[in-house]
Amino acid sequence: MVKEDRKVWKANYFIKITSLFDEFPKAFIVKADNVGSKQMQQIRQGLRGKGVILMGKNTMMRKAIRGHLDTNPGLEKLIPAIKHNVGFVFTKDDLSEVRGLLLENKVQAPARAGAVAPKDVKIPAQVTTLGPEKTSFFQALSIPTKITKGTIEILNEVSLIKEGERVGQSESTLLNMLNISPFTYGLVIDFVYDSGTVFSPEVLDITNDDIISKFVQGVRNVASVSLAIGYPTAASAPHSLINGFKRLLAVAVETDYTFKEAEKTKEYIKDTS
Amino acid sequence: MASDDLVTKQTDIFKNLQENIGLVSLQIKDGESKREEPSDFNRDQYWNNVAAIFKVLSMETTKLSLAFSKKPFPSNKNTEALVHELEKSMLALVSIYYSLPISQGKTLRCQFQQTVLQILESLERFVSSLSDCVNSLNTNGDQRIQWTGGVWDAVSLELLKDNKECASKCLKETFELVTDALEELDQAILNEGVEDEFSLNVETPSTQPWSEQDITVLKTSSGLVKTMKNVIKKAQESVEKHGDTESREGIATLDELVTLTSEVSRVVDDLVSGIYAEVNYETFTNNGEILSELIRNILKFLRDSNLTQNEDSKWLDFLTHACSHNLEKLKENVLPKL
Repeated sequence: MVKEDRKVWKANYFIKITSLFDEFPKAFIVKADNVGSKQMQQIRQGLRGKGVILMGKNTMMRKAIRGHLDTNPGLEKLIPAIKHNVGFVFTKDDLSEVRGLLLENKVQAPARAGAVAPKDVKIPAQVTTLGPEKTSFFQALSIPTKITKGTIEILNEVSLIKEGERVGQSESTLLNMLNISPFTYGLVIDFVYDSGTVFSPEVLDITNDDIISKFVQGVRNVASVSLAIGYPTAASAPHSLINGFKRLLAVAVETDYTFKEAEKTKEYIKDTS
Repeated sequence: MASDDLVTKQTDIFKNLQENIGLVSLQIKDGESKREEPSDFNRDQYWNNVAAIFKVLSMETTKLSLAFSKKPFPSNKNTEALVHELEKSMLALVSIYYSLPISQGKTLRCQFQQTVLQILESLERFVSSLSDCVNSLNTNGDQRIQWTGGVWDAVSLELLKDNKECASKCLKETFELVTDALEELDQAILNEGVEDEFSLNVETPSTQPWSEQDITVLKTSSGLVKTMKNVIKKAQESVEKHGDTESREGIATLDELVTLTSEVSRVVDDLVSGIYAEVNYETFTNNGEILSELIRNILKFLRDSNLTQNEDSKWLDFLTHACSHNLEKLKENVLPKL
C-alpha cells in the first residue's frame, strides 16, 4: 500500500510524541488554522530553546496518547481536545512567557475566498491606483465610486466583511487588487496542559488585581448578608457603624438635639447657599 | 532567626495541607467506599449544595492567595486559620462527593469524580505554590496566580447533574472524535496518500500515491466510519428523546450505552491511523471487522433498550444493512485484482 520505511517512520512518530510528554511537563494545545509551512518554520525558530512544536495526524496523536496512558494517566484529558487542525507546543519554561512568544508570531494574510473572517474588514474612502476598467468589481459589491484623474476613487468607507462571515470570491479579489491583507494568523491556544491538569488559556491572564477584585466582591457579599440578617461580622461592622451614624444624624437634623459630628450638617441644612 | 522559624512553620503547614489533599485525591481516584443510599435524595438541593461548596472553596483559595501576594506574609496563627478554612471547605467537597448515591448512575459519578479530582489537583498545585512563596522560590508569584486561576477554572466547570446529561456529553465527545477521524480519512483519500505540508515532525519518508485498489479500499473504510458516525448521532438523538433518569433501569441503560460507546473513538482511530504506515490489507480488514462488530453491538443494544421505539426500527435496519454492506465491500475490495 505504501513504502516499507513508513513503518519505521510511524514507530518513530509514536516514540517522539510519548517522549515529549515524558520530558515536558507543560504544553499548549494550539489550533493552526491558516498557518502556512513558512510561518510554522518561523514560529519554530522563535521558540528555539523555549519550546517544541509537534503537529501530526489526529488519529495518530490520539493513538499514541492512549498507548501511553498507563505511564501517564493525566494525558487522558487531552484526548477530547485533539480534533480539527491542532498541535502541541511543549515547554518546561514559564507558560506566560512561551505564550507571549506564540502570540508575537502572527503574520498579515490576504483574505482568501471561503475563509472565515476573524474580524470586520472595512475599506476606507480612498483614491485607488486601479483604472476605470476595474469598475465592475466595485459595482458587483455595490461600492459607490467615481473616476478621478483616470483612477477609481472609493467615495465612502465600506464595511466589506463582518467577523465570522465567510469571505466571498468578489471580496477576496477586490482586497487583493487593493493590496489589503486584512487578517493576521498565528497559532491560537485552545487549552493549557500542566502536569495532568488541563485549563483554559484565560487563566494565564489573571493578575493580582483580579484576585483583589474577587476578594472585594466576596467581602461585599458577606457584608450584604450580614446586614440583611442582622448578624454583625468584620465585613459588615463598618457599614453598621455608618448606618448608625446616619440615623443619629437624621435625629439631630429633625430635632434640637445636637452633637459635635452633626453640627456641620445642621449648619449646611440651615443655609444651603 | 525568628523569620526562619516562621518560614519553617509555614512550610510545614502547607506541606501538611498538600499531603492531605494528595491523600484525599488518591482515595477518590482509587474508587468507591461504601455509600449509603438515601431514600429521599433531592437532586436540585444536592447540586445547589455542590455549587455552594465550590463557591466557598474558590473564595478560601482567593483569601489565601491574596494573603500571600506580598510581604509581610500572615503570622503563623493567621496562616493556620486560613488553611483551616480551606481544609474545611475541601472536606465538605469530599463529603458531598461521597454522598452522591450510586443509584444516580455510574457515568454521573465518574464525571463528578473527574471534576472533584481536577479541583483537588489544582488546589494541591496552589498550596505547593504558596510553599514556594514563603521559601522565596517563586518571587514574582506567577505560580500562585496561575494556580489560583486553576482552582477558579476548575470550580467553574459546567456541572452535569444527571446521567442523561453525562451520557449526552460522552456521546457528543465521541461523535466529534469520529467526525474528526472521518475528515482525516476523507482528506487523505482526496490527496491520494500524498502528505500535506508540515503534517508531521519526524522526518517524513517520500510518499508514493496510492493505487486504484488502495483508494477503493479506503473509500469503503470511509463508508464504515461514516456508518459509525451516524450510529452515534442516532444514539445521541435517542438519549435526548427517551433517556430516563427517574428509574434505576433507565439510569443503568444510559450507563451501559456509555460503556459500549467508550471504545468507539479508539477503534475508529485504529482503523484510520492504519493508512499512514505499511499496512497490509489483512490488518485493515481486521480493524474493519472490529469496527463493524462494535457498530452491530451498539445497534443491537439500542434496539433492545428503552432508548428506541417501534418507529425507530427503520433507521436501525438501515444502519445495520449499511454496516454489513460496507464490511462486505471492504472484504471484496482487498481481494487481489486479476
